[in-house]
Amino acid sequence: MQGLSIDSVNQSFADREVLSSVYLNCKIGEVVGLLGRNGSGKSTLLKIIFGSTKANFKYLSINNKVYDKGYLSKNLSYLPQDNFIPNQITVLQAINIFCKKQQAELKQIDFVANHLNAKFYNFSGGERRLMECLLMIYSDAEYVLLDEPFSQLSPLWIEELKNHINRAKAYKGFIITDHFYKSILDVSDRIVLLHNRCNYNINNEDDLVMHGYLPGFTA
Amino acid sequence: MSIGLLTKSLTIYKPIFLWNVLVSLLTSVFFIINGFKEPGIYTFALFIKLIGWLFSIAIYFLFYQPTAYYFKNQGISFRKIMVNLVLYDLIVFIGILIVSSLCRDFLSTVLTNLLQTAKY
Repeated sequence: MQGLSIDSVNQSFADREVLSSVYLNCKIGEVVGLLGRNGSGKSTLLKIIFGSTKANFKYLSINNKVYDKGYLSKNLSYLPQDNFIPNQITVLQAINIFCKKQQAELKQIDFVANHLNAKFYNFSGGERRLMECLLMIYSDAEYVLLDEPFSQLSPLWIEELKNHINRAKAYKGFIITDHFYKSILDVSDRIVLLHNRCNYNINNEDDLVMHGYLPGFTA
Repeated sequence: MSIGLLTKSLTIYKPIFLWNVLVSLLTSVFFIINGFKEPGIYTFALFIKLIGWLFSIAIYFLFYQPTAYYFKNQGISFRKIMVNLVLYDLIVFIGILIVSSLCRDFLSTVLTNLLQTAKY
């Protein structure tokens, strides 16, 4: 099957099992929203897909090829929770490294066009986050993993980022996780909830209440 | 061995590469003082270089850990970067040794003078 899929993910830290037989897939043209409580294993799952964390067991395939580490496919981008682009790199250098194919689209964005020669240490926390998000959204990879892309961003920029994700999803697949669940619900085509070490497909907000992600459930 | 990877990694890891050049220069001092014919000096040099590379890894984990994703997003692993750096460092080291052996008389005179100036 064309697309990214990870199956039978088992991961535990010391005696605590975080993920058990978790399955997730993503196709081009699709945005998959990943929700879950704190410590439910959302970031761990993204790191396992990318290959920066080793799982106890997993089966990862990208476009019908099996990989031990997702980043080795050179077809997968990952936005971690923390800043990852070194301070001394300029925006233009970063664009030339990560976005060779879609740099014209990226340079049309006012914020990017106005800061092409700025180094990353010149940005505030939020500006830096926005720039890193945009670089990953318009990166050359077909599949993009975004770990808390909306954190540190003002509502205006969150809306702009959602527009860019919607524009880029025509030729990309996204897996996004964030605690701004309303933004995730807005931007995603499909929602997966990580709860009790397993994954659940979510159809509406009521399902989130039923699975204990949102308050309001009474038995 | 890739020059592209070296230039990419040098933009971020310049201090690590310079540290290894410094270790190579210090090691070459031992060759200039003791000569190139003693077999023991080669083992010693290898030991010093090995320590230098281990320190490079320590420097990476202390100061450059957050840059890991910058390279992984380009499909480059830490191991690949370090192996490339070490291979190019070996070339630089051999170059320094060749220059040292060619100019040994001059360098040993300069070194002795420097050491004596420092002493008095």
